[in-house]
Amino acid sequence: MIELNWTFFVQMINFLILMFILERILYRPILKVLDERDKKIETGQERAKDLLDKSEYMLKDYKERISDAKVEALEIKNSAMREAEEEANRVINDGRKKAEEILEQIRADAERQVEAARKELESEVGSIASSIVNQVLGREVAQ
Amino acid sequence: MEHPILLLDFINHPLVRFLEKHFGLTDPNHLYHVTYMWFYMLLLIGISLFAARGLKLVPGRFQNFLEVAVGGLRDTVRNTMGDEGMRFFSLIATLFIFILIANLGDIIPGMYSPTANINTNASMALIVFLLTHIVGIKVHGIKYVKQFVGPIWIMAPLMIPIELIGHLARPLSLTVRLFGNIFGEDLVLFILLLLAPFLIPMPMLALMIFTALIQAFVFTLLAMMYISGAMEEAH
Repeated sequence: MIELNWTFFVQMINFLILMFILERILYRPILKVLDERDKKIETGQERAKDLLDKSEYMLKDYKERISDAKVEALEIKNSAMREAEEEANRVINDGRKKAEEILEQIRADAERQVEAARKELESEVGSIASSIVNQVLGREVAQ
Repeated sequence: MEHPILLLDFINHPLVRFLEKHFGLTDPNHLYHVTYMWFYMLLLIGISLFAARGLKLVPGRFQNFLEVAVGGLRDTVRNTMGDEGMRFFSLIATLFIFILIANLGDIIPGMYSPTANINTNASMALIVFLLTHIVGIKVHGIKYVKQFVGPIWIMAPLMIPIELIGHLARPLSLTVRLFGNIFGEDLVLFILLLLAPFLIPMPMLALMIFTALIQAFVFTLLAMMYISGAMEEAH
């Protein structure tokens, strides 16, 4: 058992054969698979990182666009309100002006009528006065 | 020590008789280490063929187990020897896997450890020894001799014998350590079984599993250290 003999060489050849066969059918395929998987995981991680960056960029862009749109909407709203206000003012002013005109016309009409009435009355003042005097005095009085 | 009945006796007995009759070759151990090494070779090759049939990127259960084993060995080799060490991966991995399986074998009744025979261990240790120096000469060329001379030229006559003995002791220690552990365990188990065959040898069996792992790891680790030591710059 503790002596070296010819089986030493047999065992050496056996071991070398085992080594070469295992290298062919076990180590090489499995190391290849391991390397392939490492590479795949690495590229996958890189891709995931790229996509994440892209999505972050897109989110930022989207947010920017939303805030832009908000500003624009606010502007549109403001200008619409301003226009509406102007329109309202214009309508109110127009109405007021028209009302004043009508009032003026009515006032003028009234004045004219008063004037006409006064003239008419003034023309009748003499006769009315003499008729009153006649009534009071009971006689004709020369005018 | 006479062996109890072993599973491969049906191959061994005709083989021993055949070799003795036609070639005059005899072996005091009745060739058990050779036939059992064939057995473990076939076992490992069969497992590998079964596993390598359908290797997928997303592994199944069995493939996952083998990947953990081979991947763990790869990481160990990388950590110990660096990326250059991957050139010797098949040697290191085969050493570990074969020694582990062979060491574990003799726990099963009817089986036998090829590593309990000094010829098996010496052949593996000699492969490591030769490879160490081949790699050293390949990497450093003639400068590799410097490793044996020591740091100071004047000390060379003293250092060269010391270094030579040191280097020659490596395969010897690799061989005898593994052989001693496994053979000793076999012997202890055998004696325990003779003394008290029921339940008493069980702690010994547990210890044998542990030793099998440790010895496979130590042999492999030392092989890695020797080879990477030869690749390193001489100091």
